[in-house]
Amino acid sequence: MGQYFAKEEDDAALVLRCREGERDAFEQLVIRYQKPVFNVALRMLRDRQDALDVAQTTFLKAFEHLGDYDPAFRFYSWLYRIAINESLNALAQRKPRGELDGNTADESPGPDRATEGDQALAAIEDALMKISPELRTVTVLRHITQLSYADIAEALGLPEKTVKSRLHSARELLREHLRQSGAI
Amino acid sequence: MTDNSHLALIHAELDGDLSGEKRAALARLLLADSRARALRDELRGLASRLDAVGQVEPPPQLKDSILSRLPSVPVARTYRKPSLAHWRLAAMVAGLLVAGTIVYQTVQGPAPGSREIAGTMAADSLTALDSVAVGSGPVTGRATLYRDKSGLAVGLDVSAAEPVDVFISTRGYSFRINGLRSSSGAGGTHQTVALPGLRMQGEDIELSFLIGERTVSRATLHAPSGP
Repeated sequence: MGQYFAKEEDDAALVLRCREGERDAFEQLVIRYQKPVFNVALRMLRDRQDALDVAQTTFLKAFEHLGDYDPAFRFYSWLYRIAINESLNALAQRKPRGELDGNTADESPGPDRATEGDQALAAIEDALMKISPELRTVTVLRHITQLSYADIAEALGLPEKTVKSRLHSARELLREHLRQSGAI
Repeated sequence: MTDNSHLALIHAELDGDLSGEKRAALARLLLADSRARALRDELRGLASRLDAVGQVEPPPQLKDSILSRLPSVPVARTYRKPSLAHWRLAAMVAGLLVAGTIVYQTVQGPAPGSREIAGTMAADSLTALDSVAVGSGPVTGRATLYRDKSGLAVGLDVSAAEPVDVFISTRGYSFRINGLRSSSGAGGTHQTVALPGLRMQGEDIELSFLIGERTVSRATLHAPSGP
């Protein structure tokens, strides 16, 4: 039987303090998760300003709805679910402006993208924006935030089998896109 | 042409899901099929490139921007106020728990004596502060809050057909016990978990019982005020 005593305040303890009105506890959660949440949004949207907006909205919604959070689940899974939903909303709102997916590079290839590594990153970013948001979601959560399949399943409210199936489809499509662009 | 079963083997390898038998099957496939080897190399390369994307630092103003926009209303006010229907439901659940407890104690016999309590706390010095029945579904039993010279402890007497994880949380502390389950033929298992450093009074300790990451039961222990 495994058991442990958290030496540092863990997420659930911080959430409890937040619920009691301690705003500094929420600040700790922001510090802990602002980077992965911002990166989830950035890789979903490929636009720094949109990602910034989504990250802000994610934390504000989390704060407002902490009373609904079930501590039996991992806090970060719940937070990522909000971030993904907000990213999908932002994508949906973006559609009327035109088919921007794949063309809205936040870091446009240019002199600062001259190195081989930067070109490889740009190729991956291009390919990511060419697959559906659903497939991109599992790819980002798995490969960018390094979540386990169980965590992704919890965050998305999907069976683990579905998560794997989507990730497999995503990898094959990404591979096809990279081949077509000559990146592999 | 590489078929779906071959693809599944390659993905399973990437996912770290290969059993010994499947690993052997993949090895045979890779030896026999050059296209499968090429596909596997490409997918492995792709996974490595995706992993290498990594995370960039967020704009430095993000944290302050979030904190400055937090509503002034304390989060505690966002708790959902129980409606009359909730109170009725709670009363019904409480009735079921009481009935379940009576049935449980009738079937299981008297609770174990204090000397049967496992854990690091000296059984003789334990004082029970609160005790609640747990569940009426896949997890049944009793949770008890104890106190001794060194602090508080939670005692769990549970019966369950499957391993149960218990998530214990209270102000400033939380932790999880994994894989609690009944010992065969003993009618249940007993585990006492110390809560080091906790001496709080008048606060609640929330227990969530999970099977396969699904909450199947909850219980609340209350540390009474006073000495």
